Amino acid sequence: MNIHQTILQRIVKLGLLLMVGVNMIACSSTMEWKEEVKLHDGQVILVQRHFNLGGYLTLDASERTPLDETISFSLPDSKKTILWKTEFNDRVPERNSLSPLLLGVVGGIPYLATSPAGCIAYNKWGRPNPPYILFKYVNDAWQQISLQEFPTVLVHANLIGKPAASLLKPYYNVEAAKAEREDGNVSDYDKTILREPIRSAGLGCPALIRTGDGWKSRDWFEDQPTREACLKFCEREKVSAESCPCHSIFKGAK
Amino acid sequence: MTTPTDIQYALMAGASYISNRPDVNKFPIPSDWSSVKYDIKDSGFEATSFVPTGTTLTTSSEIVISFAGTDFSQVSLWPPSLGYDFWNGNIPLITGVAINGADQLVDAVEYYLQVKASVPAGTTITLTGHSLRAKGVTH
Repeated sequence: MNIHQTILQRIVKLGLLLMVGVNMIACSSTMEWKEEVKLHDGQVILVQRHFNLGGYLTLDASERTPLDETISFSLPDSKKTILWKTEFNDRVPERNSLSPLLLGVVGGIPYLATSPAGCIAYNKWGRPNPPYILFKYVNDAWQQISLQEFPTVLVHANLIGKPAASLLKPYYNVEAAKAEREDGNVSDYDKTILREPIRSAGLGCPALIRTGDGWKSRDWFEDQPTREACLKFCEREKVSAESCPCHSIFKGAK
Repeated sequence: MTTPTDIQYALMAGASYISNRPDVNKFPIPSDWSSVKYDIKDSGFEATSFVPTGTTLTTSSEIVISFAGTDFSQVSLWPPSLGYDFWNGNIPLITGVAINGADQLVDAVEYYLQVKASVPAGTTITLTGHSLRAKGVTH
């Protein structure tokens, strides 16, 4: 094979790949629906769900991945419109990527229970167990609260997960939303807000440390022979002083 | 020595997709094997290693490195998501031209060398992967 044929082959391959890439970009879209949400006291409110979508996980995937989600609803009494938004991006260190599970209004105050979506998000949020990130709406902003602060009357999940695009309906009444939530393989901790740690939390999801250009599992650091070697590894991987786990791993070691 | 079967290699190839799969869609890890040294870069590069359960990199005589395939997610309408996997992995691998200075073939080699450096001489290291990374493995 001569050099001209090699260059030609590469140009053809690049052209084909660019065509696929342009197709992926052109497929970006949105997804939205309205759903009736039954609150713990029996009231029903209407919630608008909106996703901005990116590309596909793989060439053979049928579902686009979400870039962000916005939930909007009006409070039953004041009719004040409230928004909640999360972005889905594992490639930034900031905390994001949450899946909403339960929306509640107690004493006129909105509460939202979510769980981290995916292994990196689970690590970003500090590997909570039970695996919830909880919010309370105060002073026109969502504020993260502890499980102890989350009202005990809010128990059962009442928000549906992102449906398959091909099965999406524009409107889900209470019964349809319940059927959607119960369809498929849903973990117990996604059905009910559990109050005790669970054994399966974080299973198959290693503890991760943020590096300068990604994430590494903690065993990369644990397997270093000495504290000094571990610190050098942190330096090499551009791990921040706060994130470097060497002092806790080699606690007590010389 | 515990040599993986073809099916175990296939499961390991799927099990390195950790970052972008909900739990219910993750591949199971073959029984008697454990995942160690997981690494994911912002470029989209993702890999993990497997050792027989109960062993470590330094005590196992057999190690399998698994590279995950292309992640096409996070593609924005405009501007094109040049920072992501397709541009950092597929294009450099096929054309030999790195965009944004990212080259996942280099990431893969570096990962392999890091694993190799932490195991005793004579340890058998084999590679597996799906899609883009299967291509990388053949390089």
